Amino acid sequence: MSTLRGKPGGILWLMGHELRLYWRRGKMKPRSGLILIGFLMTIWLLGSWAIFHRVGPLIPPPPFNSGNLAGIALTGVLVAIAFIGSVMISSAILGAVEAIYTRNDLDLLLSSPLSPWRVLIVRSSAIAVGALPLYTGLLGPPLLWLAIYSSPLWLSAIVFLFTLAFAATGIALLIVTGLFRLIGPRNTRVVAQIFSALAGAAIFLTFQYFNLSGRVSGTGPMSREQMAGMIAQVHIDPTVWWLFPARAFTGEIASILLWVVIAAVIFPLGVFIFSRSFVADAAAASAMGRKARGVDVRVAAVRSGVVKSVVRKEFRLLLRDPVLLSQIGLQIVYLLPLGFVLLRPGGGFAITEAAFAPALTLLASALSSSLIWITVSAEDAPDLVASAPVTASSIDRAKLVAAIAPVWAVMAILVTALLLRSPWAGAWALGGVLMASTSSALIGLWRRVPGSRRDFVRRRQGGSVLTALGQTFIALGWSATAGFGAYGYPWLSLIPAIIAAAILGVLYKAPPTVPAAA
Amino acid sequence: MSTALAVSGLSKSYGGKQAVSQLGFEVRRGELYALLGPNGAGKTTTLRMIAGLLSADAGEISVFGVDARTDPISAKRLIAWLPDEPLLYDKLTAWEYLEFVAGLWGVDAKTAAAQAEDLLKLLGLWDNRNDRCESFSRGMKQKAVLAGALIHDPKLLMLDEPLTGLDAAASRLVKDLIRSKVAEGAAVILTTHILEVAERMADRIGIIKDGRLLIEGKLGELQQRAGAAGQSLEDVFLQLTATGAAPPEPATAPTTAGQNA
Repeated sequence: MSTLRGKPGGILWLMGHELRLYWRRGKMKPRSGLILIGFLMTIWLLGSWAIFHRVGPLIPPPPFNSGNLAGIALTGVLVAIAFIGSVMISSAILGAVEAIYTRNDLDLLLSSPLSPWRVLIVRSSAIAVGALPLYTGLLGPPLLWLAIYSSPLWLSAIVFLFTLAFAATGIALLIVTGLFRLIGPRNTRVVAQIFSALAGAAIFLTFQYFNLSGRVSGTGPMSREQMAGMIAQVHIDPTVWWLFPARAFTGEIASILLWVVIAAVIFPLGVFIFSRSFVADAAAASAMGRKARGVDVRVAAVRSGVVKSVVRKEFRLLLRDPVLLSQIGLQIVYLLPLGFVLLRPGGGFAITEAAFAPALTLLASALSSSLIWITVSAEDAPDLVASAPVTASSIDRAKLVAAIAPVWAVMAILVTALLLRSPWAGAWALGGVLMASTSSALIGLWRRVPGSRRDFVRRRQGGSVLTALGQTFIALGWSATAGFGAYGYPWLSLIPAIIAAAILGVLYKAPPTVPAAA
Repeated sequence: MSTALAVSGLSKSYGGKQAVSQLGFEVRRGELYALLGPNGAGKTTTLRMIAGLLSADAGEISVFGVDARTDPISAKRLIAWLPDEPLLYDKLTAWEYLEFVAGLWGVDAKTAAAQAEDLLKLLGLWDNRNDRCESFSRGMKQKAVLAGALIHDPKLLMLDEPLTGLDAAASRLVKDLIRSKVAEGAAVILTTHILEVAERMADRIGIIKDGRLLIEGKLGELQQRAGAAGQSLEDVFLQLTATGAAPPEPATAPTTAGQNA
């Protein structure tokens, strides 16, 4: 009867259950998913082979134990590990929070005669394993070719990534348990989710700080010669203790053994501490909201009107969801430094202000795309809205306003500032922002896919790959249009504009007349 | 009593499976009509088509003389739909939720505020008006959704399992509210699996199975046609749905009245 391997109730059997749920969580059929992943992996395997069969033999085989360049290379590897680790911790925090607050089938599992320890160790392992496919998929093929063309020791990086996922999960479990103790169930959820979002961005922001600090201090960016000079001056001992994760990644046996031991301690420790208080924490979380509070005697004024009602409702829902806000805010955080990078003087740009036009256009497109998804696809009560005596198109128009208005409000400040510095670049930025934000919002409206706000937080918005690709090309098209125009090539800007408009036309799909289908 | 809702020849299929087939029934003003049927009989599909949430494959729906298929907006103005699963906005307060629903139905601000206050007080949610719905129990959510359904003073109320999750006191409150709307002249369609509720409250009862209307009428008529005089609605229901065949039409017009509580 059972399709799962292992003894029913055993760790292997439970892990099979978790992985089956993980595999089926997407909207795509498992078989289609397998075909798509197989296709993408084949392309990546071939693509990375094309690079590494030439580059691989040039890379000195690890371990890197001596020389100044080795120290710098290991530092680079350490930074990459820190970035991957912070993203893994970020997603593991979300997984742990979901386990406490949402629980899903945990009630069923914990009410069974299975050991709660076994259930939670498997659930925690599933959180760790869930972080692996992305990184093993991205780094696996290059590491495989490096192992063939440089040194088999590169394969230790795979072991490292595997243990990193478990160590990151252990740390995440400790963070969530600690937050629960310190600030209570009500605040833990919000703080942990925001922390998770920021943890992923922390390393990126740190880089940007160093990137910008030169500009702030007035020294400006370094030339290649200055960079080479600086590298020659920097002395990082490759055997220094804090580089041991990087040495483990690059195949030093002693370091990899030490790393495995550390992960083997952190993960069980995290699971042990998390599981010890899990039942009490989950009970406290499910009881939160029922706390007796004083009666709020205020009576708010009521305002009428369909468009105003919809827009007001959307704004309220957005502003009261700090997790959603932090996710949207992250897009700004990630994209704004791009503008600064483009604006660095000496980068070959005659008019530095012009670089803002494509950057702002991309930012407007990303924000608009997120907000339209939240307002249209993630409508919490589609039946209520659909049963209202108003046309589906008037609801759609109201939602379009709700999605675009905040984007235009944010962009108005930046575009006005740009207009004051460079009216030409500002005008192109204005055009790009208007076209990109409207296009993204229209695609969200036409190509709606029902989902929930939690899907947005989990970055599982669904939708077809073609639509996503189309949306990306349109954003890039408008961005290029604004860029060419701002740099003084208005005729050239026609080409990406026509391409963007054509893709937009292809993606047009009449919205459903019965909006419940939204 | 004039006709509030007239449904005829209504059909809907999903991918070859006939969910509703040639369904026809009428509900009058000031009448509570219980639409009963086993799981998957087509009750919710029928109500969703009347509410304009699903487009019918065939058939006619007339709401107070308005053709709901050709003029859904006018029909929706007269209808309130209460789904079996209360869908609220967790981050809105009860007051804001009602304000939003009133806005959708075009209720002017002054009337909406007065209606919201009356309904929240009536349903015992007044003290919670500024609390976000995420903190509500299932029963409180159900009451908030009911308040939303009533805020535009609908003429046709469609209630899908309205008593699910309510405690005894709240259940009594909701039943009284439904009765008062019926007494005011509204038409109410109710689906429920609690057959005692239908037996005590409904003026007329329709039983559907596999998307077809097996029988409709007052309780006494149902008992008579099913050959189960004196038996409970549960007995009649189980007997009819077990065979799945419509009982024969009565030879003479029935006169037995329903047992209204």
